Amino acid sequence: MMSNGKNNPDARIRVTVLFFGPARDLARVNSTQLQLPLGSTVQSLRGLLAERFTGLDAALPAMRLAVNLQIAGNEHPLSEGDEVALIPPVSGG
Amino acid sequence: MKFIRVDLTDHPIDAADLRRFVQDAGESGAVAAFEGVTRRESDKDHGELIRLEYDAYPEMARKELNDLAIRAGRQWPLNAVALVHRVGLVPPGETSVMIFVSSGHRAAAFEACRWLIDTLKQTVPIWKQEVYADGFTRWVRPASDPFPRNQPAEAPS
Repeated sequence: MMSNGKNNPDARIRVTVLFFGPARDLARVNSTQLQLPLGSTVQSLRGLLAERFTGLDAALPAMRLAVNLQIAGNEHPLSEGDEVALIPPVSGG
Repeated sequence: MKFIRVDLTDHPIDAADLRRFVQDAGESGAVAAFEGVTRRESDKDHGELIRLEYDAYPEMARKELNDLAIRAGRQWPLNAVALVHRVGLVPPGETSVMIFVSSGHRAAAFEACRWLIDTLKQTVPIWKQEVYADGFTRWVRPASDPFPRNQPAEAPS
């Protein structure tokens, strides 16, 4: 029987991460695609981002993450194809 | 409240058009407006501010602007709300954000307009960067925010 994603410990999901404003300058990219283990949360993505983008590390705790255009807490589970954006403290107006 | 117009634009905002939009809505006896303008400033080390550069997460910013208009319509008896924010370059003296609100009577229009700009500044994913005469750039941080100061700015060393 073929293993489905849920039972496969090696199953991964892919998310797109977008960087805006100061986050873009710190990461030095506009966007990236990352793979995470199935069952990953926003918190696990924060850890991966801090590792991959050392320039972001110190600023990351002050940033919120939006998942599919909605601000999401650290416990929010990520799914295949999610669009995640780093939202530094906003300064519109 | 049936009439909402929100937009992000990289062109100068057509205030007359927005004003007509809210004034024509329902039986309005009051139109309140707020206009945010790039302030003429100078920095002792970097000279005159030559422009602000606005960045936005466009899809989310539009959605949040629309949500703000809907929330204002639930809190006050409004006829229409128009919310337009610039993105890209905005030189001193030009408008970066324009809000119009119409209602039957003035209290609702004044209060909603104030709430809209205050909440917009706290929630909508838009960021501005100051650009000075000597090329120095700096992201503006909200006064109450813990964003670290040591971010690399593109300062000439």
